[in-house]
Amino acid sequence: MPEPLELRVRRVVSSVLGLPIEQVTLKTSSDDVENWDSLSIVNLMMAIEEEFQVGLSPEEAGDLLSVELISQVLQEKLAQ
Amino acid sequence: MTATAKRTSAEYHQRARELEASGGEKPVKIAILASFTAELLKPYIVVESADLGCRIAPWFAPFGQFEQMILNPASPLWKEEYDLIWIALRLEDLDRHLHHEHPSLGPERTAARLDALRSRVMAAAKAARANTRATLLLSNFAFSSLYAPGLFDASDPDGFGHLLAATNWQLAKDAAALSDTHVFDYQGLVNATGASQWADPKLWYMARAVSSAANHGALAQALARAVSALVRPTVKCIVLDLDNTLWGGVLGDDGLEGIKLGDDYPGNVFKEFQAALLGLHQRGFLLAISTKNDEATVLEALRFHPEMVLREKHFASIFANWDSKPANLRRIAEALNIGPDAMLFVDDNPVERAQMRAELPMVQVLELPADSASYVAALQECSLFDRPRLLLEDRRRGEMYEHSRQRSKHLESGASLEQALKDLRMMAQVGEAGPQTFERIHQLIQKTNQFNLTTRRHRLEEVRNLSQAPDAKVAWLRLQDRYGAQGLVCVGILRKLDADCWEVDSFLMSCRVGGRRVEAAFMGYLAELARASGARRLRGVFRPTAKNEPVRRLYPELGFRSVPSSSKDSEQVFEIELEDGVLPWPDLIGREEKPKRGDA
Repeated sequence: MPEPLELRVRRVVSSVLGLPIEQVTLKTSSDDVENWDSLSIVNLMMAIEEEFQVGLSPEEAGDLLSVELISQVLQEKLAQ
Repeated sequence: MTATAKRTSAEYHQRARELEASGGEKPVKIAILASFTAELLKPYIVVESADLGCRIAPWFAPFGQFEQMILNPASPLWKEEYDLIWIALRLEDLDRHLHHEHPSLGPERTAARLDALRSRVMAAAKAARANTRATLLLSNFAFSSLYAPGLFDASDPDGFGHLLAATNWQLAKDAAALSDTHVFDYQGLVNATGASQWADPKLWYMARAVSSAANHGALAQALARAVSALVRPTVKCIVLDLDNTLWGGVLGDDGLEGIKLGDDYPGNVFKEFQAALLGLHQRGFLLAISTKNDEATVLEALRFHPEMVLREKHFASIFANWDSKPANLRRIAEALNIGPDAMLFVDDNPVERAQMRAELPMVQVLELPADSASYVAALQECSLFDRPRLLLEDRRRGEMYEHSRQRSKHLESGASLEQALKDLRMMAQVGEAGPQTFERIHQLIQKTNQFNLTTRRHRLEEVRNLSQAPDAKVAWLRLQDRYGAQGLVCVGILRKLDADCWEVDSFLMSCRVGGRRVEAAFMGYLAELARASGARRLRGVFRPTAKNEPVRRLYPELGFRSVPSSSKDSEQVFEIELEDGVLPWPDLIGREEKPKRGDA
């Protein structure tokens, strides 16, 4: 069975932001992670585009603010 | 340059964090002043530089604030001491619409705008140079995909591409005129990747990213190579295997006629590889052979095979026997007087490479691809050959070592050493450092490990400043003998300690003139300089390193007496009274004076 999408998102967030994977939950967001700033959003965007082989628009990149939001963006994207 | 994505973006982040947490060897500190969001490159720089074995710790000036950072003495840039500063200004960031406007502006006004950009880079570089001893690296200018010129741009002598090339040429000339300042070939990198593949417009519009995420690794790798070439001592000797490395097939089995070497496949692959190695030889890298073969057969091939590009005379040392390669490499290192860490081992056999890595981990090993058609590419990608600037001594080094083989035969044949040295008819020229000698002096300071009493790696700017300081002297010695010129082989730096005493801050000599009393002559010259400046005593210091054991006894041997050292316990201090006749110039070396504080 392929790895669930949410777990893959958590992994990318963990790598890019330098958080232990067990601390990254669905609710983890830019509100409670100090270095989840605009630079990190670009880094997340590049990592996610690569991991999921999708292209994100700048508007979608603006939504990369929590694990939950990223997962939603990707679900919509991958359903297309 | 390969732009292979070895790691994913997330993996770069992960690995960079691990590296930063791991500590270890002191990294090279670089400051990056960019017109784009260079911080996005951070994990790539950390990881790629570690892969090259030359770790970089980058600091990023706030985006686009290069001039403020450089010109304000209170800026964070000047709070730290950096080894290198990269000034990375891009055409597409600073004059983004120039190429659209070029047709209506016409060539003169376009050229003027490009020139303004170049001047901006040079003004920043000069201001930085006045403030720091750090090496400076300046990006040149490239087309991005957004600037892809029209089909006939190259046909027009006033085409944008030609104007850009002229700007880059001028930038190179400007950089060469500024000390320890080099061009980072951003244009070459973009071209090698392909301008259309380089940028990701979305990432630029959104975040001023320098390129698409896939090219971050390649850019970081190129930067790491440049930094490493500028700050790390380079390889001096390439040790080569023969069978299936310099030619196809096995000489012992296939015979002289059977090995593959010539102008058709597969022989042309090996001939080209030899030509590439000859090019490196001419740039000053020594070549040596370590092969499991019979020596007579090997020499026959080197002398008589009609297609060989490399001949016996190109090799500074040849070991053809059945001993292990590490054993031979040690012998070559000894014969050439260079450390194993300055050697690169090239062998098609992965088992030999593994053995070399296991037994002599300090030796650099070229990962030769299984497919011989990629041998030349492997050489070209090897960062160890990157040198910022070629000096005359580099070009002549191979020749000098060839002379040195004749010279050793001469020394072996002589009745007494004294007589043999006399017969060499050595002639030395001494003088104080000036603009013509700074770079070679700096190069020797960076490279000399064995015959180096203090191993103080002064930077180019320091050498320049010391040479002009009233309480210091920077001196050199050039040597020539009946077999040819040796070039500038000794460097000494004196500093005034007090009214009576001067200290030898640095004393080093190229090992190729070892065992010839040249060091005694040069010390004699330094003593003269010190006396002429009013010194009555000369103080020498020996600072032991892993490499300079051979010169531990130099000062006592020259007549200095040991004095107690107040500073570090491993440091040994010696002194000598500068009376008449002390430290005499050896009779067997002739002397030619340079009249003034100038140059040869």
